Parts: sequence; C-alpha cells; structure tokens
Amino acid sequence: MKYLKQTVYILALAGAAALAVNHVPRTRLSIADFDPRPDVTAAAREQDLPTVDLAEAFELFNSGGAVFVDSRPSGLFVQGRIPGALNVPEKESADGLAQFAGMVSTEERVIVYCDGNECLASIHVAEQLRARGYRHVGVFFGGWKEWTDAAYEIEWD
Amino acid sequence: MQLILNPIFQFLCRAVLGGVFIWASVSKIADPAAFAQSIVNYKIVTAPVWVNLAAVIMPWVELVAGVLLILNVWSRGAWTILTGLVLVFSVLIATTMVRGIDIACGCFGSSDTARVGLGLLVRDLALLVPAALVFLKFRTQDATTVSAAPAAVPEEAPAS
Repeated sequence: MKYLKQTVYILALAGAAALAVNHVPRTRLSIADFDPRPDVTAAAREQDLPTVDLAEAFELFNSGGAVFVDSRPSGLFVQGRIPGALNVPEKESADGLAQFAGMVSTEERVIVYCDGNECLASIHVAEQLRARGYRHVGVFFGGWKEWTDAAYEIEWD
Repeated sequence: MQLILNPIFQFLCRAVLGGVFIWASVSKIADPAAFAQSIVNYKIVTAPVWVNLAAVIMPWVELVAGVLLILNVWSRGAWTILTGLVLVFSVLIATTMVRGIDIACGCFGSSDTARVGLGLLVRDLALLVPAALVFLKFRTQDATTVSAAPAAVPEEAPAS
C-alpha cells in the first residue's frame, strides 16, 4: 500500500509543480488554446507548393492526368494505396526518388500524399521531387484518410 | 544477493533509472509546445486540451519521481511511477511500430531524433533491469519488517 500512497503523493506534487511553473510566461503553454497539430497548409504555403483537394485528386485520378506518389512507409504502401501510385517513402527517399526518376518524366504532373492532413511527409517528398527537376508537383493533403473515407477505389499487394 | 543489496550498488541503480528520467524531463519542461507536437505524432491522443495537459504535467512527473528515487524519499512511489512509465512507453513504441507510423521518439525532447523502432524498444526495456534490482531491495526490506513482526507475538501470548 506504501507504493500506491506514495505514487498518489508524487503525482499530486508533480501536477501542482507543473501547473504552477506553467504560469511563468517564458515557456507558458496555453492548455486550452494551443493547437499542437502541425499546420500542414501553412507549411505548404511556405514552400509555395500547390495543393489539390479530394475532388481535384479524384478527377486527376480518373483522367490519368497525374502520377500519384505515396510518401508513407513501404509497409503501409503495400497494405493499401491509391491505384497506380508509386511509393517514395519519406525515410528512404533517396532510393525511392532514384527509382521514381527512372520511371516518370520531369514534365509529368505529380501529386504527393501521405496519411492525411496531419502529416508532413508529403511536403518533404514534394520538395525533394521539385529539387530533382519535377516542375508540376502538388500535394494532396486529405491523403490516404480522405481517400478511404470517401470509399474510392484502392489497390494493395 | 549481497551485491544487489549493497547500498552503493542500490544507489547506482536508482541513479540510472532516476537519472534517465530527469535527463529526459529537462528539455521537455523547457519547451512544452515541442513536446506537445511529439505527443500528437503518436496519433493516440490528438485532442489539443489533453495533449497540452500531458505535455505540461508529464515531464514534471518524470522529474519529481526521478529526483525522489535518487534521494530515496518516497522511493516506492517513485519506483512505481518510473517503472510504470517504462512499461507504458514500451507499449506505445510497440503499437507505433505495428501501426507502421514512422516518427521521432521525442523521448528526450524534440532535439532527440531517434526514430521509433526496435532499437528504441530495447533501450527502453533495458531500464527494467535497474528497476528490478531496486525492487529486490524493497522486497528484502519489506520481508525483514514482516518477519520481525511475528517474533513479537509469542512474547505477548503468555500475558493473556
């Protein structure tokens, strides 16, 4: 019982210290107002990357007007992806990019996506594609989540 | 067994377990916003209010429990919290691996770029070694207190 009692004491002490120190303005985190989710749209704007929404992505998919790039880890890519998408995982992007460059011309329109609107992998891979000379690179922020929520066609290995 | 119960050895065990958590807490206390983002990356808790509360309070729990364990004050409570955190983190790391999410650990603040993976899981579980050694000491201490108690009973018995 000593264990439980002391645990409660320590948790109370630490909680009180934490909330007290959180009043110090320098590092203060507004618990109610701060939104810790990465602001991916701002990140894309900063990089000057064009974005497409679900409807545009779906249209490009149907018309074959763009090559889709899945920037998620390969483990997820094989489990399910937008049909025809090529995998350039953010983590091993050097290999993925080299392979991709061998298959897709730099003139083609390329749309990069990742999990959904809270991941930055698509932006990172899009930047690297642009650095490799791809001129028409866009990001589909809704990503895998919006695509599957809309129950659009998928493929897997 | 003698070695395990040796006070200096016990101090070292407490210093390793407590020290790792103190070290981990400092940069998180200095930048709670960055730690909040690390928590969101795990995609288990994403509601801002809960994430922020955890980001503010958790580093302090690590710090206070780490210091108390080393000082041997309320050491059983501190041990319970730190061992519990080691176990919770290992479950988090394992589920993150299974879900195929590739993120930075954030364990030692946002400048810690170690990725969540098997190496990290091993590193985390290694902390159970000093934790177990400290627990052995508690067990031995508690056993001696308990075994001392029955010895007192026969002395009282003839009086009744």
